[in-house]
Amino acid sequence: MTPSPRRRPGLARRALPALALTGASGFLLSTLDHPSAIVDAGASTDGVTVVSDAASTTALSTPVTTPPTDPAPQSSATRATIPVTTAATTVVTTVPAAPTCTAYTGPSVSTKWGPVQVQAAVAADGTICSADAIVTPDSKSRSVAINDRAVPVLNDRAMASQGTDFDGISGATITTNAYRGSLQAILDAVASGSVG
Amino acid sequence: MAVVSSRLDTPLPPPVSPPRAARPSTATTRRLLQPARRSRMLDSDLAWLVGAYVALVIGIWSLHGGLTRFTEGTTGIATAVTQVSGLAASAVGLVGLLFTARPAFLERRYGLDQLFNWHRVLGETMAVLVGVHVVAAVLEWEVDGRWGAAIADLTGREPYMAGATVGALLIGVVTVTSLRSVRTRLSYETWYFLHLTAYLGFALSFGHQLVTGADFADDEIARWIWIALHATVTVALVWGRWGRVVRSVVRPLRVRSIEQVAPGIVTIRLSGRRLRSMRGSAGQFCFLRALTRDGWWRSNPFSLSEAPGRDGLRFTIKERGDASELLTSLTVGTRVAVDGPYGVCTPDIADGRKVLFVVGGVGIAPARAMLEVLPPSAEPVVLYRVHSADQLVHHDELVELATHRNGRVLALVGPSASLAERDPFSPAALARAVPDVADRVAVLCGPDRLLTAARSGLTKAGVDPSDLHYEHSWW
Repeated sequence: MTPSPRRRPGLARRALPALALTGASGFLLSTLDHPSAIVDAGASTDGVTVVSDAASTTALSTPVTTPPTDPAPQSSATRATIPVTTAATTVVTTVPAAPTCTAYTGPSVSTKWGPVQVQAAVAADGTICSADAIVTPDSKSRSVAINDRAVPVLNDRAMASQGTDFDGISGATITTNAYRGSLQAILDAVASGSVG
Repeated sequence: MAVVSSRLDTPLPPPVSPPRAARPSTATTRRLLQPARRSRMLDSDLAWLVGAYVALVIGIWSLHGGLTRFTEGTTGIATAVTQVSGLAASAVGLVGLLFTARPAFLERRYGLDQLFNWHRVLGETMAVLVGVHVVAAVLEWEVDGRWGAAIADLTGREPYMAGATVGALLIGVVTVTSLRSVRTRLSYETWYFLHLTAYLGFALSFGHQLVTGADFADDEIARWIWIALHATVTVALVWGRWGRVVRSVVRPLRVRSIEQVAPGIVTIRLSGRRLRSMRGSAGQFCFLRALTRDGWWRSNPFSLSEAPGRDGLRFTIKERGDASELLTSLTVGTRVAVDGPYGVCTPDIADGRKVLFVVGGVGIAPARAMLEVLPPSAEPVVLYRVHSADQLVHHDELVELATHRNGRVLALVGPSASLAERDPFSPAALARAVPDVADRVAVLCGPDRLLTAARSGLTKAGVDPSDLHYEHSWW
């Protein structure tokens, strides 16, 4: 490496492994680091169902809220299918939504903590009018506490980003991923015209 | 010099030449450095510090789930293990890093070799915890058998996880290269530079602790405590570790004389204005960094072989590798950065009692230095083990210093196979050579094999283990 009259290895030779390691670390870091990528939670469009054909019209920017009309039947129905990744559940709730928006219920995405299911009102062009997780893990008090905090934030972020390409919530990563999966399935279904 | 003895109880003959008048080593008029500071730290203080730290970490842990998470089913256990192993790895690693900053309040009490032993234990513990943490995290993340997705999430799709992944890999490399079997195949500097990448590993994995970790993501107070701990250790490292290097380089000493005292062994004397403000005691060692074109990037420890004085620091160095070869070939006037001195094996440990030195090879250096400042009440006995007579160094000085203190020097010379006894440090051999061995404070210095044999023999001969003083040559 470094010519030395006494054949004593020089700094370059001694530092080479460490420098190579540092360089490899930098390369690996830049290759791996894609925190903003959409996480495919494995949902397909199969589980997406139309909730209602809302006909009334309001401005798209007006958030449409899913009325909490007796949510008990749907959540118990979903809970029965916990081990299944996608559980189609038709919900017979009428959403007083914007005319261009149709409410869909996404597939139930099961997580280690329990199922997550998103209901979203989406326009034909893919605009998200509203989104909400109607089913979240609730078997543990900690899950409830996390999701009480996380779900409103996720709803806002889904609206703000108009898609699933939004930042996750630390401490609620699994819920975030499942939420994205269920919502993305709705968006995919709308885009492909397979529902509605 | 024709001293060849195969038994331990052979005193060295009196000096063949009368002591030179100019030799400063035995002169009582030398102006010595202020002795190294003693730490007022007590074991109980350390226990309190460690206890408070452990309580803090456990407090943070239990405030954010703690044991209750283990009751939340198998997935809950995976999460709980991920959390607790990650938190513990970070907590243990921080202390391990702190020790490399050589904080004086610990170094002056326990010695640098003890700090490095602890650093090693903590580092290995941290590596195991990081391994557990990584496996548990993947188990936690996996949903419905999609391992690939879980690993992809944890290695980069989650914020800061790419850094955590690379950080864990770096910690792994640093750990593997420090395993004894690997370490011995690397040169010291190659290993050392690789070891430095642990800093990078720590820095890269810091982000995910704050953002993903259940302990800090949601709790601002815990997060600030954690940031403050990291900042403290960083400041300690910058000041204590690298600041020391900078200070030693900015105010170097110069080689005043260099002299071959035996084949492959030289004494090198350094002096300079910095000695006016330096403190140090006999028995300590310094890291030397020759400020030459091929020496500035190596720093290696060498023992003082004379009580450190205003007139200079003397080191006795055996040519054993690149670094010592470099130092033994220096010329007068070369600047040498001196970091130290370190070590707690100083004459204070005699504490009015009689002293026994068991030394091997150039391990004689600290014993030689301590002899110079021991009081006559120490009646020092030096058991000096070397493989050939030409490796006996400082012979005249040793005999003269010991004799002045009613002590003596016993030499055991020759290859192991040629010795009269298979175990020259057996309790019987020790008792025969030093009848009052059990009453003495023992100072050991030499290769690990000698240390092991001498420790075992001395303990069996009745020396209290708390009276055995030695510092491992961990470099």
